[in-house]
Amino acid sequence: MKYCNDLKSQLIVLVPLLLVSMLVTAHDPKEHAKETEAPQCEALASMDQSEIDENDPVMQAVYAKCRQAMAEGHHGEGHAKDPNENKSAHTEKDAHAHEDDDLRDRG
Amino acid sequence: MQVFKSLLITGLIVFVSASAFIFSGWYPIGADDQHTAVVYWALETLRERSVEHASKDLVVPALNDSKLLLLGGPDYNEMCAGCHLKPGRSESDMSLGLYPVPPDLTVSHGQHSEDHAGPAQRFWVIKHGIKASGMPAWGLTHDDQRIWAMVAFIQKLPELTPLQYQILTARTSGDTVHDH
Repeated sequence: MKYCNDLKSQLIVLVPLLLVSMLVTAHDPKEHAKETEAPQCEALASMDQSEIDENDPVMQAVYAKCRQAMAEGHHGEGHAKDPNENKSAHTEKDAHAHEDDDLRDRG
Repeated sequence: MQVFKSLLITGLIVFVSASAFIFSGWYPIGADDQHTAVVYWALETLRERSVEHASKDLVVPALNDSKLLLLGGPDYNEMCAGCHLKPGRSESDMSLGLYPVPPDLTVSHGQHSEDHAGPAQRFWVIKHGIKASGMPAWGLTHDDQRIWAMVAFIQKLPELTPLQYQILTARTSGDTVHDH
């Protein structure tokens, strides 16, 4: 009986501690994401396109980030301005192609 | 026997002197009070040799990957830029107040004599930190993939323009942590 009481006391202490310890895990990066500003992709237009090396991983990453930001911007507008919205042939690949062309044409 | 006694007495004197020095509190420990040149050299050499030794067997993956830059950029901006700076910013409260001074990672090796670390050394330092320096061990909360992504970003950081830096480090709602 005394043993059961001791075990019960230990469980009362250990179970909450175990639950708290489970909160200590590798965290989602969004936990320390500050109030970040959106990528300033419009400013890419001021860059000299002739000097851009498209094999440069930096520029590849910049374009990829801007494509992603633009895609999120289109989603936010509800596709209202997408002229290809009702065309069944419109695919995600086409959307990326449009966004790439748009980024380049702005130069 | 006499030699043994002499060594023992010498050792005892050194031990007592060292203990007195430590417990006296005489040595200034403030970050705004720099070490003497000899002490600084000894600590810096110890640190660099230790990191070189610990990281010598690390296998560096291919870092010239745009996906790694996209993964490492936001983490660098949020976790590192406060001390190690970013394009267009030459100092911060942390970079001015910490001692030893955190290396400015926006300048290339040729310009910053205190930072000659290669990618393997950088990975090790990010993962394990540096004792008593203000550099935390990020490996306790970040896996190797994310740390290698930060290394890849740091390798490119000196050549980034402020615009490229801003775009690469901005977080979009689509940012996710890749599964490993």
